[in-house]
Amino acid sequence: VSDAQLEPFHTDFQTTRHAPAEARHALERYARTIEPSLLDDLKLVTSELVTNSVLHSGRPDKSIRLDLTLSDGVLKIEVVDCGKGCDVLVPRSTWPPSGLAVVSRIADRWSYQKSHSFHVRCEFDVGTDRLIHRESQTW
Amino acid sequence: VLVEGRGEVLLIRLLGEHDLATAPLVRKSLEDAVRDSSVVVSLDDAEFVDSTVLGALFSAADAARRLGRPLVLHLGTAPIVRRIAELTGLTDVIPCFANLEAAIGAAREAP
Repeated sequence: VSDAQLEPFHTDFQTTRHAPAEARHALERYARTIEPSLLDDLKLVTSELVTNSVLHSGRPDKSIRLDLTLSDGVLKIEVVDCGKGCDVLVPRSTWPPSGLAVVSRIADRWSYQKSHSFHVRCEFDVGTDRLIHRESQTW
Repeated sequence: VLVEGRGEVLLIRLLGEHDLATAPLVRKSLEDAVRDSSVVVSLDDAEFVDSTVLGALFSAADAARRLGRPLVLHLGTAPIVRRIAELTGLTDVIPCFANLEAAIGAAREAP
């Protein structure tokens, strides 16, 4: 268990209203040994980020990319779309909550970057004990 | 989205996963329901809800308030649904009950 690792994970989705569910289901298949509460948080964050890309990228002809990596106890999720992004991206704290408000309350850190594409990154400080769900080890 | 009549209360159950793909249906179902009835929305059989669904719930609760009708939530037990409810303070903006019969009772008794 001490060498618990997750292989980097990359996948692409068509920019449709079904992309958030596809991203969650891909995460479930990829991260089945992760502690359930951490997997729930990853699904919530990923779903909201992919939803924002579907709603705001303005490029239904281009796909959305999801990258997940683990390094030095930090799990990083990055969602990339081909849109211009927003001028200022701020979590809306009043009701109803924005997707980014949900993200900002779950992730330890988040950031975004604009270039020819739009990147939103989230980081989670995780211990290896949360990456291997005890009950899963009997499989 | 499953709609059941419980006396004068409409019970709307969100089954399975709800997100951007189903939020328009959820929104329409709730809008139609609050126009005519007291409403209980049960998330007990929901496996996922996101911010777009919370937005639909909030709009419906707002519409119900303006019509003077109750809209209450049966929160259910799915950990991921409880998680987003806690993170967003859902229970502060819409009355929530852990028990379905209590939720129906509250919807029935509300003025």
